[in-house]
Amino acid sequence: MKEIKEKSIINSLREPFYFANSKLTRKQFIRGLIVAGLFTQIPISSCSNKENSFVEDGKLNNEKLRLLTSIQEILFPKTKNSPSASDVNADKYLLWILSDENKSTKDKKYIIDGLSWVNQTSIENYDKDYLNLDSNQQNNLVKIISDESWGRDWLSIIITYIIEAVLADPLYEGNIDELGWKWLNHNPGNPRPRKEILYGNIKETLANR
Amino acid sequence: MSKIYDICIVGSGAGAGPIAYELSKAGKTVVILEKGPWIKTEDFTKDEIVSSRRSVYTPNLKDEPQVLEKKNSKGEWIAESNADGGRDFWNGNCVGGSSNFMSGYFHRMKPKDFKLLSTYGEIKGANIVDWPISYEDLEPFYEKVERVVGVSGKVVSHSTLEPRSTKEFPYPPLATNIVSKWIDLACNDLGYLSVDVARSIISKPLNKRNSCVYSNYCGSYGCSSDAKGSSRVALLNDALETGNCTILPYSKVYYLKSNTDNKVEKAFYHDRENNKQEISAKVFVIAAQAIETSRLLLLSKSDNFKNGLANNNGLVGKNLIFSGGGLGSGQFLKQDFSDKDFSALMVGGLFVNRSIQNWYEINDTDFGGKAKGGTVDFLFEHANGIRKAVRQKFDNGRLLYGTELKDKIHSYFTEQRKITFEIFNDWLPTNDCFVSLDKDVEDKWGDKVARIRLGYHEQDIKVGNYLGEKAKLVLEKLGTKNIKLGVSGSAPPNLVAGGCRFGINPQKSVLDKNCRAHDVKNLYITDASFMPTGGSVPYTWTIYANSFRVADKIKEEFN
Repeated sequence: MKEIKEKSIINSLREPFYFANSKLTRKQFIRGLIVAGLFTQIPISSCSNKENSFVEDGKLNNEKLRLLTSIQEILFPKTKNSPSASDVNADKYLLWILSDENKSTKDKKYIIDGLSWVNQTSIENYDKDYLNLDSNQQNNLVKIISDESWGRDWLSIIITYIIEAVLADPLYEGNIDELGWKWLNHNPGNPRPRKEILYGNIKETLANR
Repeated sequence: MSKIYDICIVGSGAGAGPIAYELSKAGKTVVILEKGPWIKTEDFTKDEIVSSRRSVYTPNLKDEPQVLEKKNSKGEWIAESNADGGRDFWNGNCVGGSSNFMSGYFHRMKPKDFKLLSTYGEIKGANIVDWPISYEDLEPFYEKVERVVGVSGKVVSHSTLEPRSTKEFPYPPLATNIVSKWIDLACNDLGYLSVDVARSIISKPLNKRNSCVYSNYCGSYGCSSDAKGSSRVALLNDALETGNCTILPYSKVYYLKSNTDNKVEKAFYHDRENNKQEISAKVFVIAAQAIETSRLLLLSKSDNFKNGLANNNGLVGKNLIFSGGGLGSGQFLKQDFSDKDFSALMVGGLFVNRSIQNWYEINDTDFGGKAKGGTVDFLFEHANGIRKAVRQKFDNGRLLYGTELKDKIHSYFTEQRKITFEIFNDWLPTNDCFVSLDKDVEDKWGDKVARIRLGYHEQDIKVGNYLGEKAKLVLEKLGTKNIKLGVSGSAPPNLVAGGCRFGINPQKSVLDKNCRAHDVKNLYITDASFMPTGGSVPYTWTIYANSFRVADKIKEEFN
C-alpha cells in the first residue's frame, strides 16, 4: 500500500498569528487549569504529559473553554440518530490534545489563539463577545468565519479533532458507549487497545519493559 | 575483552531478518542493533490513533528531523527541515521494521527488470543500468521466501509471468470479496487479464503463527495473528530460538569505525538512556532502510574514507529511488446495486487481491514502441474510520460542518464503498534524487540528519498516467462513480530503495554483486539500498529474497 501519512494536521498552514515559543511550563499551565476548574476534565490517564510548554498563562480560561464547547456543538450538532460533539466529550478530547507533549507549541497556540480570533470577529460583527450572542447570531458567526480563509483553516482543525473524538477508541474518553461507531455502523476491528498501550502511554510502557 | 560477535546487523526489517535467520541457524553469533522499541504481537491492536494518526511507530520529528529538498516553481531546489512537522521518510522504527506495517502485496520482479538498460535502452536524464545478477540468480530465493516467510496466492499464467521453479504457492489464496469476481469479469470484457495477487499473509498456520483472521486492518497496522510475514515474526523469532541471536532495541547506531585494513571493527550506538555504547563483530550488515543506511555510511568518516564509509567514489546516497505511479479510485454507490450485491460488497475483512500486468511492457507509439510499463493493484479504501470521516470535511474547497457534514459522513460510511487502485512503475534513478548529510540540522543526539533531494523523471509520470488511464476503464466497467486518478512525482515514503547500488564496476557502484562494499571487506548492505532500478512492483519480496541470497554468500565467507 502506498502510504499516505496523516500525522501532521496543522503544519501545512502558514498563519501570521504565531507567537514565539511559549515560556510557560506544563506545571504553570496545569496550575492555570486548576484555577479555571478545567484540570479534572483532561483524560490524564492517557496524556503524554511529561515536562511540557505550550500556552501562555491565562490563554485558556473558562470563557475560552465555553466558547470552544459552543463552537464544537455548532460544528457537530446533535441529531435524532447521531451524537453531538458534547455527547462524545469533544472539548475534553481537545484539552487532551493540548496536553500532548509531542504536539508542537506552535500547533497548540494556533488552536487556542483561534478562540480569541473568533471572539474578535464577534465583536467586529455584533459588538459583543461571542458568549453574549444568541444562538442564531452564534450560528451566523460560524458561517462568517467559515467563509474566511483563516476561519476555514482553524475550524477545519477543530472538526478534525471532533471527528477523532467521535471515532477513536472509547478508552480515549471520547466516543462514549461507542456512540460514534454505532452511528456509522463502523467496525473498528479487533483486538481493541488496552490502557497501557494507548497513545501517550505506549512508548513509556514499552520502554519500561 | 568485550565479546566479538560473528555478525552485527544494523536494523531488523526485511533486509536484516534473513541474515539473522540464516546465520544464527548456521551457528554464528548474531547481534541486531535496532533503534526502535521491541513491540510484541500482543501490543499490536486496532488503535487508529496509534497506528495512523500520531508518530508512534516512527520518531518524533522534533527529535529526529529530516531535511527535504524540493523544486519550487522557478526550478530552484529549496531545502526545509521537517522538525516542525510535514512529510517525513521514516518507516517502522521498531523490531521488525516497516515489515510489521506492510500490506504484504508481494510481486516478484521480472527477468527484464534485471536488464532494463539492455532491454529498453537509455532514457535521457536517467541513470539506468543493468543489474549484475539475473532473475535466475534470485529465483531460488524468491521461492524460499514463499516457504519460509510465507506467501499465499494462486499462480495465473500470463504474458509477463515470471519463470517459477515451483508450480504453486505454498499457501492457498486468501478469501476474497465479491468485487474480485466483478473485476475479473470487467477485465475480461475489456480484454485485460486480471491476475491474483500474492500476499505475504499466510492462509493456514505455520509453526507458531496463526493464519489470517481477516481483521480488515492490515496495512499500517501490526498483525495480531502473526499471519503477516514480518521479519519479526517470520524470521527473528526463529533466529532467537537458536540461542545465537541477540536483539538490542533502542540502539541507534551513529558510527561505524573502520581500520586501516579497510574493515569495520566496531559499531557505536546510543542506547535507551542515550549513553554511547560500542559493539565489535567480524562482519557488519547494514539494513536500516535506504535513507538511514546511506546516512550512516556518510556519518562514518575515517582516514581511509574521508567522505564516508565505502564512499571514495562519491556514490553513497546517490540514485535514490522510490516507486513511481499514483492512485486512482471510484465509488460503488448503494443506489446502483441490488441489496444483495451491495451487502456482499460491504463485507469487511475479505481481500481484493487482483492486479493487472498487461502493460508491464508497453507497446505504444506514444512511447516509440516498446517501453517499460508497470503494475496496477486493486484494493478497497483503508478501513480507518477517522481518516474516512475527516476526508468528508470539504466539498469543492468549501468547508462543511453541522448536519451537512454529518449527513455526508453517514452517507459515506453506509451508502458507498470506495475501491482504489495503485500504480507501480519505475522511479527512474536520476541525479536529482539522493541522500546527503545536512550541514546544519542535527538530531537529538547531535548527529547530522539526512537531507533528501526528491527529484523525479518525467517518464515516471508519463508511464503512471498511461497505466492509470487503462485502470480507470476497469472502474468504469465496474459501474463505479466519481472516478479519480492522481499521478505525481510525489515520493511515497514507504517505498524507498537505492542509494548504494550494486554493480560490477567499483567506480560506478557502491556494492559488489554480492552486496558487499567494494572498498570494505566485511561490510554488507541488505536492505533495498542495493537496487539500481526498482522494477514496477513493491520491493519487499525482492529485499527478502536478496537478503537470503547474501546470507548464503556470508556463510560461504565464514566457511
